[in-house]
Amino acid sequence: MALQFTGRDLALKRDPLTGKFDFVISSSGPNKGNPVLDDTRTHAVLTSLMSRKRGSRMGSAPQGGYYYDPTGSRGSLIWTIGQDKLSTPSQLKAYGEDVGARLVDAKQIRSYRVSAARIGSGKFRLDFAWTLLDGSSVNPVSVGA
Amino acid sequence: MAVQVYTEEELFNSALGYFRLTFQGLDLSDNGFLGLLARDFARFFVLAQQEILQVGNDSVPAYQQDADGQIRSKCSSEALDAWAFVFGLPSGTPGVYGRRGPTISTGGIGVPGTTLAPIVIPAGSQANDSTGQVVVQTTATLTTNGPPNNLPIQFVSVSTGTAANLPAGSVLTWTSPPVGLLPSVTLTSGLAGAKDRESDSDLVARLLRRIQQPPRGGTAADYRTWGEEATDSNGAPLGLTRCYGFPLRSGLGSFDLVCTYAGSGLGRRPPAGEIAKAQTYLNRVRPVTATVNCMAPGMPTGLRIRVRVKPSTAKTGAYLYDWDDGSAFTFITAATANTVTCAVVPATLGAALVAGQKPRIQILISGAGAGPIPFIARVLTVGGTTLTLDRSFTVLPVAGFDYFYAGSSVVVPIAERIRDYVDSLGPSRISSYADPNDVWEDRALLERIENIVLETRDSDGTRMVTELPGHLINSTQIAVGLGAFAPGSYRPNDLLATPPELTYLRDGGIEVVS
Repeated sequence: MALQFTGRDLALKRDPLTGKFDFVISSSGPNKGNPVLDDTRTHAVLTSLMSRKRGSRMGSAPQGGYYYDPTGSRGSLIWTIGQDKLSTPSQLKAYGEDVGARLVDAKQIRSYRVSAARIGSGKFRLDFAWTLLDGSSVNPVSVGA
Repeated sequence: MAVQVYTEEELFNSALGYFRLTFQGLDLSDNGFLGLLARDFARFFVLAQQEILQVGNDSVPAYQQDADGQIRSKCSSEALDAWAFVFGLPSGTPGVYGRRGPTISTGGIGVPGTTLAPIVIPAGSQANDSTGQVVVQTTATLTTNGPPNNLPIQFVSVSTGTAANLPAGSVLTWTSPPVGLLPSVTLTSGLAGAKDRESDSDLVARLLRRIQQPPRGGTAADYRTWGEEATDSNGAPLGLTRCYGFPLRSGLGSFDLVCTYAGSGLGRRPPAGEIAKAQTYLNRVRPVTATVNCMAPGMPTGLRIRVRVKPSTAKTGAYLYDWDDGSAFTFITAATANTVTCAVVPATLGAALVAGQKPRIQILISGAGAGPIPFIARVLTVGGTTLTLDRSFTVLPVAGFDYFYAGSSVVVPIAERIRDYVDSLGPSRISSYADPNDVWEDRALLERIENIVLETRDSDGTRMVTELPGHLINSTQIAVGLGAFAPGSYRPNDLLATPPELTYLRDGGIEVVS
């Protein structure tokens, strides 16, 4: 079957057992066997949150970055967090907002809302909600834990 | 094999273009999955292309000009090693083909000091240089005749590579001296002849010569190859780095081969014993109808070269001379290990010293073993007409004959480049018998020397000289032996009855003056 162009990017879904995101593969119809496409920008949000933006952990040399991003703006600095401190949730939120601002500038989304919380010793969760360019909302994503 | 190479940008645009056509309307930015995939493909092809390019480069031994303008081997080192094996290039180790490895130095002589009656120094006794990195050993057992002992002992290096070429004056410390032997010995004759591992550039040059001039059983190129690959009766290479062919120079059916070592000055001339070994080897491989004459070059008289320079004012005058000698030298009337005495201390030198500069002087030392590079030292104090220097001589200046000029940081770099140029020259071609297919320079040309001086650069690329005052008049002059300096190039002679002459520099033969 030929790929059906039903959106601008791959649709993603979260496996409730593992917590990992994966492609949605169509199991019926003309798109059977192909990945499903959608316009939710979930891939854009997740890849931006999980990619390592150029930065450094405390006391280390700069690392990370994307080969095709000479400006060093792609991705987030979430990966640099290595300590459980009082300020960690606000730090996480700031890094999430940095991602949201870049996606707004790239006209991928219209607006975003970020929250972060400590959910246990050394465990944090970041929730990222956003609206599309047409103003519609989509399901927020959560990372961390 | 010529390989078409695409730039990274071309590959990137091609990959994105393909995805744009195949997946119309999808997000191909670096936020979209397919956009990232397209970039991954582009990067993959860039890396794959590099591998293909390397295969192409390794497919034939060749040169290329790199971005920095340097000529380098196009092949990787590994491929060159394989090519050297395929074409059977001798490595210097009997029975092994490939790249030449680092070699030892020979010819070191020192007179060990003793405090007791005859001491036996066994063959193979080892000593270290002052850095502790170079190990040398004695070649034969010596029974001293002291104290004071005046019998010399010969050294060869155990260490390999050019670091093992220790100059005369080097102090060696015995590893396990017998009782009664002083702990150190000074070389009166330096160790020479050691070479580093053959570089890629040298190996590709040897390969190309082997391929372009394959063995034919007696061409001029064959004789050169035979000479450079000559071994002694044990199969050990003689180390004749460069041999120069002169077909028919000694008559019909003859071939004269002038053999030289790598190295500098008179050190390029192989001793008679080594020439005899080369002759034996050549007699074994030459065509039966030919007569080959192995010979060392004639080196009757060394040159002196004087260049006048105007140093650059860059780096707040770091290259300028420390004092103004008015382009005149000052004779040395006496010298000790770290002092020189002259009839009158130049007033400008004294003034510079008073100003607290510790001004430098360059001393031209004509004593055997001093080498052509000027001896640079700072003057610490002046007592009467005696200058105390900040370093000691390895070879003392000859009183009443040697002299000094003002010193500068440009002197040694320029002198070394001039020395390297002269050491790269081959024997005289004036006879017209030199192999026309093997072209080498034989003359010390003023224009080449001037170019060398002007192109002298600091390690960061800064030109050290801005101009040559007195160009075409007296900016560059050459003197033959003790003759007068004259602004003319030098061409070595070839009288046919004796070996062709090879240009070389006398000890203390380079003067870099303002």
